[in-house]
Amino acid sequence: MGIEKMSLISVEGGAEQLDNSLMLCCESRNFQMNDISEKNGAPAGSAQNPYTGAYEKLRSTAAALGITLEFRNYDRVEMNAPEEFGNWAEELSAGVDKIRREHEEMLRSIEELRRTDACVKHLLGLNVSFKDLFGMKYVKLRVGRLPTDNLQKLDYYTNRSIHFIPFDKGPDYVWGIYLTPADTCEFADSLMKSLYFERTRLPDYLDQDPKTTDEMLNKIIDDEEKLDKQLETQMNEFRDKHRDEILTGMSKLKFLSECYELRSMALISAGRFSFSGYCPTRLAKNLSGELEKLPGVQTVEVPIKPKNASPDVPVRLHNNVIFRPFEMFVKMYGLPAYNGFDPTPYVAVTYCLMFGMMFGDLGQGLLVSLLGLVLSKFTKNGLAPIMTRIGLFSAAFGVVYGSVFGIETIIPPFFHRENIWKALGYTKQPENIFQVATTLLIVALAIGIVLIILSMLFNTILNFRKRNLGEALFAVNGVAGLVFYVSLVAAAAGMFMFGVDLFNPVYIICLIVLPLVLIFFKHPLSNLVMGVKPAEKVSIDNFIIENFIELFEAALSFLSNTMSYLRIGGFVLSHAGMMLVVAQLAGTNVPGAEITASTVIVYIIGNLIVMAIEGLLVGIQVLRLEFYEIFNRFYDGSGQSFRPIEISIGTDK
Amino acid sequence: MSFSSNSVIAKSRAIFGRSLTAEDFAQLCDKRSVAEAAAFLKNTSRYGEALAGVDPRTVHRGQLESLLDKTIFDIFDGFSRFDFTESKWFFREIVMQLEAEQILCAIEAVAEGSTDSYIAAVPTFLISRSRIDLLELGKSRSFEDISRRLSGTEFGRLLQPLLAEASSTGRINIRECERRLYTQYYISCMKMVEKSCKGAQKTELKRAFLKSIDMKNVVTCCRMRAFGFDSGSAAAQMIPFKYRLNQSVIERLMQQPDIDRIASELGELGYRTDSSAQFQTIEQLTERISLDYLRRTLRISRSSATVYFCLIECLQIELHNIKTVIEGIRYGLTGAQIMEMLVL
Repeated sequence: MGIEKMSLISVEGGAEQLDNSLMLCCESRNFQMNDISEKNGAPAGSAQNPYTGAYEKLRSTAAALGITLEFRNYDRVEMNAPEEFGNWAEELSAGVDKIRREHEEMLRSIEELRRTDACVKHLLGLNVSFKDLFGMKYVKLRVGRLPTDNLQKLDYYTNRSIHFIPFDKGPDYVWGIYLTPADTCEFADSLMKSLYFERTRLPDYLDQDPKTTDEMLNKIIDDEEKLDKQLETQMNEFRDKHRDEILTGMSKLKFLSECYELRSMALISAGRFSFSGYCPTRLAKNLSGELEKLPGVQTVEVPIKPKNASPDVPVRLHNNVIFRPFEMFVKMYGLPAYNGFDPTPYVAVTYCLMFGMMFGDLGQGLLVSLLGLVLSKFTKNGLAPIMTRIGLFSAAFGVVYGSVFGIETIIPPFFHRENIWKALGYTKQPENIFQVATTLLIVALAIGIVLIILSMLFNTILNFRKRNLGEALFAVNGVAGLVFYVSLVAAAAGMFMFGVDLFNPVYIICLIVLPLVLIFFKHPLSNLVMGVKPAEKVSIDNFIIENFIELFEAALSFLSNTMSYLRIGGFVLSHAGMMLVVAQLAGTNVPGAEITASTVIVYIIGNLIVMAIEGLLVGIQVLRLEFYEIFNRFYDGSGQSFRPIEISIGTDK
Repeated sequence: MSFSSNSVIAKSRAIFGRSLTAEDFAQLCDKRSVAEAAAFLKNTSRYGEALAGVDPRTVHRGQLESLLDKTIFDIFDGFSRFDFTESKWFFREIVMQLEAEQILCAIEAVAEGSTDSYIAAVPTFLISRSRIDLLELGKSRSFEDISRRLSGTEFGRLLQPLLAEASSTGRINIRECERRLYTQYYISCMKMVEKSCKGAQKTELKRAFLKSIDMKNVVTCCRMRAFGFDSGSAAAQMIPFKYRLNQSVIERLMQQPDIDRIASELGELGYRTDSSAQFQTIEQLTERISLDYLRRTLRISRSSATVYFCLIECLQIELHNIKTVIEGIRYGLTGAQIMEMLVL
């Protein structure tokens, strides 16, 4: 559990085995190749990839056929050479192109006919044939549309022998024809053009009246659409016939193509290749064994110890099934360094606990959990399995608070137990959660203090492990800070809760002032302990100003971080408050209220709204606490993700 | 704060935010036909709605420009509906400016004997908003007709002597008509500023108006010099409001041999712009100076009236730029050549 141990595998062999070795590494899906750019020797894959052309051709063919790309098993594909793939791709593409060209021509023709028909439709009020209209000797006729706004201007040209007959008026354009004597036609055309009349030229074969022409055009369009449908059917048949062949062939082609690309990460020298990469140690033996089965291929496997690891060793988190979904949050912040610490289990526990406390309701918790289960089943959403887990904690705390879908009369809440309310210092049994608000807020603060102390402890231990003594001893989140914070909290708790005043001079000097002085002088003390010289000289003025500001900020952050946890108690109250509003809207907040259908509906809707709003808010707030109040104290997220070489096609791998 | 509230400022800035960027203009300039330009503009947030019903393949250049004009006019119309305070007078002044343009077109059409073209060019969006019957004005066949149709309006009163003189001589002094009409427009605007605004808002808005007038007067001054007139004649043709442009400045400007020297002279007056920029025309220089000031004021001013005024001017410059691009495309200029002519 934690950060997966990695091994560095170096592979060497005869150049003819390079592709096979790379294929094995790809197929293992657990091998991250190292970059050879800084090494000597010639990269093995500098020539142009011979598979690219065939692959691109096939991809456009698949797109034309509407095939969604997916990775398929290609064991039955016998082709291997780029030329074989090229010929096959050409053959398929020629078949598709023929149908596609005919289909595109047909579409163009249908589009043209539709445009003409749209124009003819606007002239349906005209009862004269186009042949008669366009055949007139002394009168010329133009068909088209005029901007509707300009229609009013035509009144000013009534004496100019232009007669416009509108047939169809829309908000932007009015469709119609204008008639003009043949001898003034040029003038009329120019005038109408200045009014932005858009002329439509009808094809010569239209010689009937608009109604008949419309029917005729509709028939032609129908016929052409039928022909187009046939082409579509042909295309579909072609697709169904060749789909598997294309997908399996493309999978193999892609695999070969990407393996070829990987050659650029290997070295070839004197007829031998070599490359290296990282593989999880638990799988390294298997992979080495497989590689060594290839003739002449040798491998060397070196497990990487965290102590001596270089910063570029990739990191893969490896947690059990309960904690695994919470890796998403850690990755979101940044992976830990290889020699660092995987905080996933800590995040999982604290996230579930805090969410459960802030969103405690048996019914709603179980519903969130159920929703998470359903979503996990049908989607790949990373939040779904987290919902399943946090929902259970929410349900558990719901039992403690005695809340089932906001109804607090089914299960007795913790503060109704006599021994508890007496232990909490109440003289009579509190009626509702609002009466124990102070206790809740104190508990929230206590949780915050514990989490802050834990985070500082983690930081101290990690720095000791890394031999970073200066940070471990004198940092704000090291021993000095820990002593200061714990002493301050203990003294405050003693004073306010138990009436014990710990603030005597020895306590103050040793446990509060001294840690602050150590933090103030952290840099020179660290250098002294580590035996190193300061990287640069800092003037005394600057030293005092910088360290004073840092110290002030640190002290302030202790206070603000602790107070930040008050939100845990705040959300418990807010949840109760929102459910009280729902109860009031449903009319069930008074004893003996009648339960009707409307009460149930209001309860259901209210619960759904509260779950949606508060669930989201609490989820975000807890994540904020994790990132800002916890991670900030011990975690830097400087690791590099483990990226095994993989072959992808479409969205599938 | 007179002249509405923060909402006018917010709305003005939101509309300004939808302006075409320099990158948009670069893409527009690279179009090879009016159809391509129309298709591009159809996909912009500012002009898309107005051009929705237009088929870019068949749209006429004049129609496209008219629709662009309408888009900008509709923005101002929208403001006058949205803001029920003094923004209405701004809209009235905009309508007045457009009316003045149409009257000048009608006079020119009569002088050239081409009244048909006037009717065709009248912006239809203005017809219902204008206090003058613009289409009726198009029926004028003589200067008397125009004078009769304008009688009873403030424009008629201004142009009466000139039209009467033109009726007897057959020649119209179009430059004087233009000067009178635009002078009246600015007088009307300044009266409204005095009447509607107070305190710092009035000072700021007046400054914006006067700076705009100064730039227009610089153009007049340079044009007059090109036609061989002296500074006295130039001053007589200018709009009679000044911010920094006094007689001695006019004389100095008229002595400058080229645009660079005029730019440096204006720079000394505080009218500065990017010193590395090259300007082909005096209009380009003055519009660029104005645009720098307008953009800056639009962003930082807290006076809604000033912000709105700056928006009006900026939109008009944008419109002018688009029309320049369309014209450049029609004349087959390259994208780079057109870009040089724009005010960005």
